[in-house]
Amino acid sequence: MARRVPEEVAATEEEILAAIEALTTEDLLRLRAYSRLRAGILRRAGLDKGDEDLLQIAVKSLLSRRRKWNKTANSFSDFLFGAIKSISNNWCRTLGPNEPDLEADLITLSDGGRVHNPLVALPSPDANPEEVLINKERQASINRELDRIEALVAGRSLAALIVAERRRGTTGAEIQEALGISETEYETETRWIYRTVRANGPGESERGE
Amino acid sequence: MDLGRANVANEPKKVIDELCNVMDTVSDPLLQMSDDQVLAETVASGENPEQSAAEVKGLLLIAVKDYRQRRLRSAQEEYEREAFASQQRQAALPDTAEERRLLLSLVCQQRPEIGNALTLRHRHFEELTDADVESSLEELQELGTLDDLRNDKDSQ
Repeated sequence: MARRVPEEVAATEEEILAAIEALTTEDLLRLRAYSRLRAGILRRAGLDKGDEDLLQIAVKSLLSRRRKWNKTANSFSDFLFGAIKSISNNWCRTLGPNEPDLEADLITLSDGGRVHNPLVALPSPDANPEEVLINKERQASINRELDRIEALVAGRSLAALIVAERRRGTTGAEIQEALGISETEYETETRWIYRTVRANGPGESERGE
Repeated sequence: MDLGRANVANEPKKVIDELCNVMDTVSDPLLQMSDDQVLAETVASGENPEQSAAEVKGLLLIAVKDYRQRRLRSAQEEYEREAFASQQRQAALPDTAEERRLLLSLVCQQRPEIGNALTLRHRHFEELTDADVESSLEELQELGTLDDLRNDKDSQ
């Protein structure tokens, strides 16, 4: 994980700025598509955050040194993709009860030492009836989003199987082995899944809908 | 088809894991796609690649600007807090030179090591000028020594 990058190889603020300026058109388009897709799934599952938040928090987490980019080992775009993936996975976990530590990517510490957490406090499952109801509604939203994605790929049996198995935690390698398919076949199918879900998501930024 | 795992019950944590897994499955193929494919997809979706790329870069640069401004604001607030605290500390010193000298004398009695340090740095206590006394007290205020002594006195 980038957080264990030695201080001497971590990028400076000026290097970060220069790296942003140097991102290619393709890098930037890929970043938008990646953050938009992930934020879109989370938003439909009930999280009130957008793809722009995801992109900006990835940069701010680097500037605040919550995350470090080892510029000698990784490209800047690779760092950003890793940060976006990690932040969105942490956001995903904030949808569940009793996961306060995983809100950490939303928490920013100013140089003055004050903590800012834009997420409202999440309810615990054994709290009051209102919180239990919120939890149930969130769970229902998540299930609806998962069911929506499964329905999108239902017409293609291998894709449907991959999504169903990944949903239950089977790894890509396990699926390939169990089905006797090559890595290339697996990647072709997951690429189709990506295109299908992307084509059925919103075309514009999710924020502020 | 089931690859041999137990069915996943819809418990909250399980559902969260399922969502994370599916999110990765759906989005990660993008990371393996070539630049040409990414460009072609952008055009196919009706977006202008250059304009979209410029928007994303703008967002990233705004994040840097926001961060820097927030840090500046934070430093400014910190400075103002410190200045206010310093003002408060100075205001807490006695008004007259005589009272300030008496206070410093009391401090030296309660903390002989401070008295020793003062006489080493300056001269005999009696020979300290009013300015020496005032600056010494301000220094002790800054270090929190006067507050410590007040707290000690209050707790006795």
